[in-house]
Amino acid sequence: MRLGGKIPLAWKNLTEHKLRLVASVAGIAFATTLMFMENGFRKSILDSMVNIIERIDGQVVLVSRTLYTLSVPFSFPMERVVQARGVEGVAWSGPMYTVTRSSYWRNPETGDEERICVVGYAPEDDLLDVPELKAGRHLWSRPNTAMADDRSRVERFGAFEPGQVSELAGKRFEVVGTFSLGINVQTNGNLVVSDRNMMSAFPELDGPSLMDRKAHVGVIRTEPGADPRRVRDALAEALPPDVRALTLDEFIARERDFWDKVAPIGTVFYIGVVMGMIVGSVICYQVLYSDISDRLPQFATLKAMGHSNLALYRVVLGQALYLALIGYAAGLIVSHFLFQWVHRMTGLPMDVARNNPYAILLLTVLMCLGAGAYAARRLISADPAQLFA
Amino acid sequence: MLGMRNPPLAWRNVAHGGRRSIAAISGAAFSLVMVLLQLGFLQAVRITGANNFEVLDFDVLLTSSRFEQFYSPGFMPLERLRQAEGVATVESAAPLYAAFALWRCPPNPLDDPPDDDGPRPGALARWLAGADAAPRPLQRRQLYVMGFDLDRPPFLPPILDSIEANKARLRVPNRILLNAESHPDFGWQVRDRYHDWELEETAVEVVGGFEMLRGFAADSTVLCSADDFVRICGYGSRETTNLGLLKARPGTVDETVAALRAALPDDVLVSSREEVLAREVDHWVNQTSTGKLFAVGVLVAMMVAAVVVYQVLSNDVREHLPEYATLRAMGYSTLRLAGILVFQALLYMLISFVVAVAISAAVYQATETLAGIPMVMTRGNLALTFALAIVVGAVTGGLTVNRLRLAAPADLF
Repeated sequence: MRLGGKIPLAWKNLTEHKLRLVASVAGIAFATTLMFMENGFRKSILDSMVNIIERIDGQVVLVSRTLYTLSVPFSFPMERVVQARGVEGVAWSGPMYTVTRSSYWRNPETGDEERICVVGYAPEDDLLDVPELKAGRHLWSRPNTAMADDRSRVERFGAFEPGQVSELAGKRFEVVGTFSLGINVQTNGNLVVSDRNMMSAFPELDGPSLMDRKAHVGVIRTEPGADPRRVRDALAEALPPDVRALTLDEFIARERDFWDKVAPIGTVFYIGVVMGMIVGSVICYQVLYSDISDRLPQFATLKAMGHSNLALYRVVLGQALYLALIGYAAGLIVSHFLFQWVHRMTGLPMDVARNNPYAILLLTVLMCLGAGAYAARRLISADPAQLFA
Repeated sequence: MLGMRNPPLAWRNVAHGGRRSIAAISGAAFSLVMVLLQLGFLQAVRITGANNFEVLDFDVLLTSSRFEQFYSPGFMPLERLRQAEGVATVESAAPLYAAFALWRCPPNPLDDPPDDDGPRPGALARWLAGADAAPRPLQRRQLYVMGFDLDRPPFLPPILDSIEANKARLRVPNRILLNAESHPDFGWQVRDRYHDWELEETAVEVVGGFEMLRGFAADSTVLCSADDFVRICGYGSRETTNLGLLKARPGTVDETVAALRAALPDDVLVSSREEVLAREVDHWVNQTSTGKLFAVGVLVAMMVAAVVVYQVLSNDVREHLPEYATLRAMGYSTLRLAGILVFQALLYMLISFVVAVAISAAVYQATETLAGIPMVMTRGNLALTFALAIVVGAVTGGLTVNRLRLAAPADLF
């Protein structure tokens, strides 16, 4: 008779003591939660840094040669954006402006001026793929109007709502609508304004002529079927070296790369992820090891009854697998609520689904199977009678 | 002591547990490492937040009412400092000009810089290669510049000593001091071989260094004279400044703050040194996403540690229940067995704690090297972790005693 064929032995072992099952599952669930949390924090910081540029509706971008992160905007002459239109493969190009350091919004409730990130582009260009911005185009084309990010920190800016009147950079501005983008570790809120309003609020970006305006990102849409990398190369060839052409994916990767590898915050969370993985794995191992060791006498009995090593092994590993899966599922649920809570608290994008859930599942299962196999070693090598010792 | 009577049962249970004890201790120890690590991160946020103002010499701080934190101080007319000097208890008032500016980061290697288009090496790769060896292209990066009156440097030693040592040299225009603790990309290590330094659009000369922690917001800092600062950073004149550092007569700080609040218009914010430090720490810990994430990290790590330690100990005790039943049948009192159980739990936690501190020390060191943030194992954090370990240990031990008491000796087999 195949062991566990008629009676699901691994499952019965696991569910025999309900309390013990709960303790084991809790151990593994929390180990999984730890891995999810560290991973999630790192990911959310990196994701949040690119939440604006990820929405750029274009395939290739132009940025200043010196730009290393968009949080420290470097500008280049608007002329480059226009020059790009003559390059093969380019269907359309338009400028985007950002001000992050010197832009203040007056909180209408408290009267305090708070720093806010301002993005500007011509409303008809639809540079950002955000439905509310596209739909409200006619509203924020008007002078001295702005669209506000409803995910901005309420405690800083108060709740943004249409019709609200306050000051941006000391000039009267009206909020005409809201959209949802999200904040990051550098900014507490976002405003989107038209290019004209951008120039009136921040005259330092304006120049003697349109061509001299200081643009921060040149968004380029390629002709249908054109390879963005080809177009990028063609732009690099055609334009002076004060600008750098990047495909949108490269731009996003560069931005993440800076926060991940150069800024200390990325490194800190990276260490958190590595430690979370190690600690989570050790915990899984610990739980499984004691769970299996406790049952060695029963296994010895089965061995004495003539069941093969392989059959016993299968039961032990089956038990490990069940425990891993139940623990993981419980951990996933705990993490989900933890993430929601952190999202509400910090406004950072936190999503379990974007956090390598499969990698963590794999790691949990592998650790549990490894621990089970290690615990079962004694079972294989020993005489049945010794196992009762 | 109860558990140590002859034979010392609790100790023997731990010492002769073999692999099982090792598994239990490693589980508990690693959970505690996680707690210590998260506490260390949070502490680093506190330290770097407070440090910026701790190195400055002042009793009372004047800032713009727009003041957010050290790196975003807002602007204030110099006139407010002159007005403040009119208050009787103010001994002196020194302006500090502070702003982010662009710094030309030397490439590496100096004579053959790599292309800027490739991916950057990660912190780990850089660490393995050594700080000087990782290739990097020529870049302009932001750092924090502070300008001050050379005759009244508002700093405390050791930074003040570095300034005094280089004072004569700093009087020549466009000479600056660079933070020796800068991120390696900013070139402090190659200061003798590189000469094309640039701050914003101005060629400058690095005449010396000073030591100041770098935080999460700025990778490096530069000190220069106020005249250089306003020219290089485009302030136009010295009449607009960022921070006003006041010294009050000893014992008159509260009085001075009240007098200044009454005397000055409401475009400035008057705060005492304690208020400034408290507000700065509060900003970095409670207002920024970074601080909040680390705080959540501490909380979750503690919960995980508690659950795991409970799991470890209750498993271990259950394992030994038959032995305890024998002892009970032999006439040992429940109280005495309980003592052994709790003592054993505490022994586990003690060993785990020691192991955890040893591992954490190594992880702290690695973090400090890799991320360049100060990782300090404070007594408070050690005590907190220790208390967590002991409380969870004792509670778990106690909970298991309950099972022991309810069961008749024979049942336990």
